[in-house]
Amino acid sequence: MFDELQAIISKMESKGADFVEARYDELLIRTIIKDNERIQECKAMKQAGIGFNVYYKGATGYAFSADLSSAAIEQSAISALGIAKAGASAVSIKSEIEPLKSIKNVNIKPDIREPAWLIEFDDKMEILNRMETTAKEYGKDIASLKVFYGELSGEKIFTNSERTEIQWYPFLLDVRCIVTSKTPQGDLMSASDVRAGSIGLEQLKIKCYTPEDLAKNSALWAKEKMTAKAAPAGKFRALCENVLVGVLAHESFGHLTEGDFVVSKATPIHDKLGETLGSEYVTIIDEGITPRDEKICSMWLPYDDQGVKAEHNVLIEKGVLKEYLHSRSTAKLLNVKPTGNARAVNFTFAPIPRMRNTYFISGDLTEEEALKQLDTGIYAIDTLGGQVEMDGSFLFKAVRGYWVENGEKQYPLKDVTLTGNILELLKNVEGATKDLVIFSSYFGGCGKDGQESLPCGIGGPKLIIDNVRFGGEK
Amino acid sequence: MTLDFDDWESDLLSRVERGLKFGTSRGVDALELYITNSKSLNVKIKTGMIDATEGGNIGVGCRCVTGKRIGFSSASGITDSAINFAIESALKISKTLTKEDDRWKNFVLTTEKGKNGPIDDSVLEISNEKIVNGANLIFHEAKNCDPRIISIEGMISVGYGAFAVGNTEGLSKSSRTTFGTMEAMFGASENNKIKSYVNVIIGRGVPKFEGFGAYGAQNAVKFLKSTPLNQTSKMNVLFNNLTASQLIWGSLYNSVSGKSVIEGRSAFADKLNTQIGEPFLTIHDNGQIPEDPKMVAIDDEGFPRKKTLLIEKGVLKSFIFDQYYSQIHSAENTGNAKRGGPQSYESMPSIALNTISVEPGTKDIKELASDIETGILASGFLMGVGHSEFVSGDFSIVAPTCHKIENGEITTPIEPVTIAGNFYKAFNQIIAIGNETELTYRGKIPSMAFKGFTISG
Repeated sequence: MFDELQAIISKMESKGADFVEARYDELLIRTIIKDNERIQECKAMKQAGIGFNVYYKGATGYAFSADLSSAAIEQSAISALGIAKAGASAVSIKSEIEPLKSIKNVNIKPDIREPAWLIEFDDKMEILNRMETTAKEYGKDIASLKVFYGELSGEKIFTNSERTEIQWYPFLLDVRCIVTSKTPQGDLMSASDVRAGSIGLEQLKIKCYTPEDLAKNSALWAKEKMTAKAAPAGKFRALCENVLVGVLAHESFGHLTEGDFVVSKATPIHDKLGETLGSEYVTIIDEGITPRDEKICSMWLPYDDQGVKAEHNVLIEKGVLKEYLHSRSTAKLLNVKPTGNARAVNFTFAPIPRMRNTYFISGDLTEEEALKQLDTGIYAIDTLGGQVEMDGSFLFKAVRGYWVENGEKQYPLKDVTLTGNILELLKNVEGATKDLVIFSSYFGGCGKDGQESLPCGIGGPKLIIDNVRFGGEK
Repeated sequence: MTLDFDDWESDLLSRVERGLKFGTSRGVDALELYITNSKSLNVKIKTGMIDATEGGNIGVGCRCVTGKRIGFSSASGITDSAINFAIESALKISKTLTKEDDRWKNFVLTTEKGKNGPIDDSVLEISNEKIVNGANLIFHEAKNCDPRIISIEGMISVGYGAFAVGNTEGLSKSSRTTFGTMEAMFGASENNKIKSYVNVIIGRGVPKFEGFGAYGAQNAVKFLKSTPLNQTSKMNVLFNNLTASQLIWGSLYNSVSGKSVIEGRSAFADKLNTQIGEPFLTIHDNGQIPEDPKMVAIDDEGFPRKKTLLIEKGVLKSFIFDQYYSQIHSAENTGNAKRGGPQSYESMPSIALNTISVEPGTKDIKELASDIETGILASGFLMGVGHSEFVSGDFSIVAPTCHKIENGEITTPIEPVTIAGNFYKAFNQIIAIGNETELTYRGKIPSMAFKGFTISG
């Protein structure tokens, strides 16, 4: 494969290309979804193809082929060069590449004990059946019960004009349960729990994280929401639980540090490097490899889709903005080293600056101490996702929560919405717990520029934040 | 050799036919193939950078039924080897399953077709250079419009595509479309304050580049003058047509899906033929709007796309269905089978809205505002609709671009506010419906005024 791709790269260079990147992805994804104990979906997906990213006089062009015949592969490279040439005359800001040392003979295999893709179908189905049995045992007035199994495995090959040669093998496992209970008034209340990341099946055998634990949690939380009240609207103190903090790190802050937004000034922090944006409790990391343990189910990503080693990057340290996330071209424009953040969801897309595992680092409080410090406010838990706008306005959703008074949980709340401006919110972080949780999933994922569901890791400790605006009913 | 677009449908149908023959030779009980091919040029507008990429949705999805056990597999590419891989893999899965789906009956079998939308030749004829120059024009137009414009972030996507569906029960159909969309966010800055505005055009042909950048830039600059609302209270809210389309989509997305009804997740499950909204509210799901790039002749499992009455004068008249759930519910298939995502061939068909149309009223947006003593006007893209809890219907969303309504007049711009309510109760909170008829983000939905949402800002 390397020889064939490099021969085409040479041909494109002889036709005027300034730089060429070639990528072969072959991913195999298997999912099983059961809905109310019926198999809703049992499928296998093969994504295999080659993409070429060509640089020509400051413009880039990308084209791909799922047809792996030699003629089709070469034609896609020619198309990419043609597209780049079409753009060259209109470029105001040039996309260029700073030379890097060639990397050869990189072939990294995953380090896990029980790869999910090696077990039989019946064993995968059994995981879902176990969740169903437990959910029914603990749930109340269940209107709907959904269980999910997803796995991703495969290989990625990369080479370029520097004759770099990298081969590695991505993998993910995702197991989750969603329970919906119906109140006597007919209202439907959902809750879910998940175990997901670049993990093996051994991670589903750890106490508190077994399929039974996921199902029990989902069932009991949905049951609790049946008596939950709507969250009040207005500004309150908040204690945000770990997964929700991960959404804050990724959606509300991380996107603002992506190099393409920085270069195009589409982020409010494009000119704030070195400035204090948050309190001393705000340190956010983005990295390709986070050492895993029972609470850290990160995504494993040793190299990005431009063949750059995925570095450990400190975005913000004790409140001070330290660096942005770069592809090779955005790094060149800002005269810094690429960080290994150029990622594409599959071979049909060009790599663009994206996050990897993004999380707040932990503090020193226990949950009890954090509740005490919160005093009165909203304890917001789990997430339905969130988003941020270029002015820093953000919104993120918690699935459930509690109203807290004098450090004690008073009553459960239904899903709550947290909004505001991220640059104000980061200044109001008053403390962090010592427990660090990270997860990354196959079902769901990050969306940007039409590239949906890119697996990313998110997480953090629990954070105490003052003066958070909650959208709710008066 | 490059195939002429006029020949794409027949090419895909022949691939379906070869695949079905291969599947039959492997001993399948029943088989469905969905094969798609598309080509687009996507040009990013990134404040002067030009990133152009060729896009495509090229692959095969296969459902294979053994007994009543259903396996699905997909493969990227439409070569015979990709198609045969998908068939073999789906067959293997269906044979591996141990439990039958006793609700399964059969794939779609009908000779009917809806209408294809008009093919706009402009997307077939335009050169890559002209699209790139269009992106450049938008950038310079916005930049030159006002010195306070600091960023333009968006994408032009122009292309065409076709798909074919066939099954071993005799169905063999195809359809095709053309599309041209532009979306860009314009950022303005003054005195450390940043405001943005999103402009969108959706159609079947090459969009008109001229004026798009200036319009977006002018609107972004307007919101630099916004001030905080500084209150939390129940208020009347007027949504312009783009914003109303997102709210109405949120109200229908889960509630009218036949799947949600049957699986116990729809708030409207027991409300058929009952009053769920104001008596002047009539809504269709319409898969046959000619200017809509989503208008094709068939849905993603080959059933004719059509226009379905969902709500008539406030009364819920129908849910939407694909083949599987229509048979369970003993209801008519409404042609709403959809395979989602940028690679549609990777998805099994599931029920989704086509394009929503709300019957317009008689007043324009200023006249709607004049009927509101005090409230807000929400315009542009809402944050958080897609992250809402669609089972309960409770929503709390952020409207980034709003104006005050004072004494019936649309007055000053205000900072983002949260709007909280319930998607399903909202149908009974409508004050009036505007008279716009153009296609926006989620459909042909006019401006709409609502009472009693909680506003905080």
